Amino acid sequence: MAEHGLVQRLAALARLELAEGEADRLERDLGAILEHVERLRALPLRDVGATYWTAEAAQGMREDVSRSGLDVEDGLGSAAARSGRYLLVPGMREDA
Amino acid sequence: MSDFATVIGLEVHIELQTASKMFCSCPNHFGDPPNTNICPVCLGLPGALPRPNAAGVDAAIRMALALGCKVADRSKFDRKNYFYPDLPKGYQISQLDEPIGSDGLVEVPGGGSVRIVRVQLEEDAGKLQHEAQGAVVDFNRAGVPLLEIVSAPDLRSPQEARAYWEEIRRIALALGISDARMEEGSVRADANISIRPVGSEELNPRVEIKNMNSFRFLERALVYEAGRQAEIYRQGGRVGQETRGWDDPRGVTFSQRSKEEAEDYRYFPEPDLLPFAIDRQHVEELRSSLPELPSGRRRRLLWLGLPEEQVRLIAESRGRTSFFDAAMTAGGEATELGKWICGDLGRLENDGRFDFEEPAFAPEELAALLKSLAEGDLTGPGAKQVIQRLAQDGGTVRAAIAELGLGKMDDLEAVRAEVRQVLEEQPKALADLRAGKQQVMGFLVGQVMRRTRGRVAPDVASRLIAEEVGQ
Amino acid sequence: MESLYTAADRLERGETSSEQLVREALDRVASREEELHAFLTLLPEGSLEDAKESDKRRLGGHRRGLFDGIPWAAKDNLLTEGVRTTAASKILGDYLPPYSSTAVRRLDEQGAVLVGKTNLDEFAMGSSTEYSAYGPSRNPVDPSRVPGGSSGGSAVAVAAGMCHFALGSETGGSVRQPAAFCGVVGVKPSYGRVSRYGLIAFASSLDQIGTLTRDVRDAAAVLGAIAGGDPMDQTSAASPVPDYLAAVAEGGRELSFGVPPEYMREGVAPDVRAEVERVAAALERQGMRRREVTLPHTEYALDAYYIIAPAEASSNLSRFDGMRYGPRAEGQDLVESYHRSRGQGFGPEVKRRILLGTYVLSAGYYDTYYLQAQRLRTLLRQEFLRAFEQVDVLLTPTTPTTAFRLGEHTQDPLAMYMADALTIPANLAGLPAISVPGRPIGGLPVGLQVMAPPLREDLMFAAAATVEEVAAR
Ligand SMILES: [Mg+2]
Ligand SMILES: [Zn+2]
Repeated sequence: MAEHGLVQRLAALARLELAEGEADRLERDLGAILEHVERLRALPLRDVGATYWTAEAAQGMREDVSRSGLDVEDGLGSAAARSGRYLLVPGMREDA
Repeated sequence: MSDFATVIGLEVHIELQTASKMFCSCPNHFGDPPNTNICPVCLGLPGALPRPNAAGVDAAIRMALALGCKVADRSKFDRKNYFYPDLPKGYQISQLDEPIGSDGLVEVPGGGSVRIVRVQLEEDAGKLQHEAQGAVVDFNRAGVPLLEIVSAPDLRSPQEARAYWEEIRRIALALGISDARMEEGSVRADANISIRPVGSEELNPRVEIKNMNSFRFLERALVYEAGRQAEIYRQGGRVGQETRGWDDPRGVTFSQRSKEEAEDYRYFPEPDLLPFAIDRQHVEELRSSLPELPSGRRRRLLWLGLPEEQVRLIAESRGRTSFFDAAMTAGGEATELGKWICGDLGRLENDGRFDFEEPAFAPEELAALLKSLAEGDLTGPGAKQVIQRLAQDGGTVRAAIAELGLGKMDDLEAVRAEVRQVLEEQPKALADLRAGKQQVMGFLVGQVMRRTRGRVAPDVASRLIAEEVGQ
Repeated sequence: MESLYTAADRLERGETSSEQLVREALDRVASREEELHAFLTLLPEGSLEDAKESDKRRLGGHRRGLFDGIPWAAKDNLLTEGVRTTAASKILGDYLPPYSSTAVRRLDEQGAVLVGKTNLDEFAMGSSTEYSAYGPSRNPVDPSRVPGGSSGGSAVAVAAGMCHFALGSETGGSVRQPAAFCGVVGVKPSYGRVSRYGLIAFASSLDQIGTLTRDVRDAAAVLGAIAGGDPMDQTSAASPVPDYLAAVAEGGRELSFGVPPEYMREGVAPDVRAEVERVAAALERQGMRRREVTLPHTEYALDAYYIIAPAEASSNLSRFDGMRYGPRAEGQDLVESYHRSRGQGFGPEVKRRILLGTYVLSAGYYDTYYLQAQRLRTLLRQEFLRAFEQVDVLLTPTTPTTAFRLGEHTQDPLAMYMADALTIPANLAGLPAISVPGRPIGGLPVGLQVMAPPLREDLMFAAAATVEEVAAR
């Protein structure tokens, strides 16, 4: 089972507001999933390398050539708030 | 303070001067109107994917080499996850356990050697400004290639920390990988500092001071912080591991985040970018094309007999060094060149009237000037006028002498006539001199210089004045 | 509905027009969409205009090839410039992308006519399309059942004749599983075969764009049209794209195959196993050699997947924060605005996976979960590559069961995850895989899966053509 308060801690890290009762439910679900993957954790794989990528014959690096991208309306046209050419976001608490 | 030793490590961030950003093709250009250089990639739009810039990797390799680092055979990118409005994807593409360079060593002028732990490549964030109605973000800087250079905790004083940082900046400038403009924030540093009783090897909790963009701030912040920690220990307290900021107007550091609130960055290998091999032959090519580094310049200039102050001044600039080198190749004597480059030309540079990177006249002319002086074709004051003229209009020493009419007056009788004229015009000074006030001699020599526009050597002028007065 | 090839033939012979094809597609939408809910956005005017343009091109002798004038549909996690793209989430609102994904652009350039954007599980996280923020899709064969997911809308649109083909996306079976449930052909190409540029990322190391079509030949044509390296996606393969159509024409009679026993265990319904055995026997009669192969770590694939995919997703979904796009919920300050925008914008399954992913990457847990899962992935891939030294392709069921009923698994995430148990290994190993319809079981479609070595879609298509042939008998 997932430890108590775990979901709240993760939700804070992931910037997710959870509704009333949602946290309990998620705690149960997470507990069940983590329990299921216990057997994977138990496998002795210390000496096995990790496979983070499976791409083969991939693209190389990019030449350092600049090209114009989006104008500000195409790039930030869907933003909830703007101040001229700037994106406007809510203020931060003083301690940040 | 003397009963505590200070332990400092620095993380220096340097923006690279590439044509395009690190993971997209947007121009890497400072000073454009906000949100001009943006695209789906650097705005973190849905569906966008990063594409690494080969020039960024090369610049990182060159820096690693310049710092004496091992260059990895294989490197990779990792994601550092955190939320901030200037970080559009919610993660920074950085490097965790396979940085491009590691295990280097750099000599700090006037200090010891400092071990370099790692040189890694990452992307810069956008620029956020706090305003009354909230905060505004400009993404022009988002995705600009950034080098992070992490030192071991080998720095033993705020002064040494500053000298180290200045040296890193000089190296970046020498390599030409960054314009390293402090005022544009292209060079920034985080410092870790702890103190411990002298002679002790224990490791006390360290405080991180974040995001400083001036050498002076760094030094002041570290001096303050060392004092603050010493005071805590003296009073029997404990320093907590935390992140602090520097408030320059108030001259204090202030707590930003404690260890308990520390971010959990959840690093993992960037799945959108494949690990990359670094070709040995390519590294050797880059190594052999490295320019002379500031430390090498300094050694060479010291060996030539220049005083330390001049060595420091010349070696820190690529322009001054190459001007010096060219003038010396043209036959200029090293110590004399040092005087002129740090003296008259240095002052002209400070006034914005001369640029060693793009000099108005050829360095060979400085050698020619020294030759004219040595051979007595020009007086010291005349030479100063020639330099002014060359800095302003360019051209040659020979032409400047002719145009200014500065050829030394060879006819002693003609000079004597000028001296008499001066004495006639300055009866009070003449009387003072006769009364034994030797101090006015300098004034009178100056007057002769002015009348002759420096075409008389000062010692000749003073000899003739003395003769006229009958001394 | 007719196949892409049949339609293209009729266009070529002048028996129909693109406008006519689009009108037929829109008629099918009109008659069944209310019940099935395949689409999130329909483009009736735009598609008719595009169709008329295509007809003009053809009459002027400038036909752009097979796809010119053919109606198709895109899963709504593929960006379409200027056309609303939602990923079936509230967090994007009515987002209008400023650019199109590479795959969509390639089809645009060949004259294909986009009729709409199809429904999916929110951010492609799900196996039934029930996790769409805009309501579930339904299986056209039996509307009380799910169409599978997450590319459910695309599978429904093809199965119900609302378009001639569709694109979907896969992370753990999201094309093959709905293809199996709806009775169409679904392809997940090798990792890197198709550019992911413009695909809203779920789990970057597993995601691939895939195809949903009426038959194997159509699948080969569509994949051929969108495959190939793209400088915008560093992980896309630069190697040349083989002639898939030639592979289909040749068939798989010369090939060998294996049926790994790990895919035929008790979790798989007996009827489904029986269908695979029936087809395997028929393949042998066609001359295909069957050999024993074994993939012992298969049982851990699901576990590894439910660590890796959420981990990558938790990071990929960080950009959805209400700041640069999508609705923003106000709060006392920035942090509260983040929390509310994301808390209100994401649905329950997405939150579940974000939290799970955050957990397995967090300090102290990385090694035991994320790294362990990536190590398992190494074994899995090695096992596959060893098996492919014995046989050319693998034949397995696509799903353990036929389509389940709406609501059957929504209360139990683990039961829902089991629906992908047989498709996930190919994603983890980066293999190409296809689901071809077998003989229906109790009136419900069933899928036969063919897997091939990395970048060997040619072998996959050759074998699938023969599977398709024998399965229909
Ligand atoms: Mg960094
Ligand atoms: Zn960009």
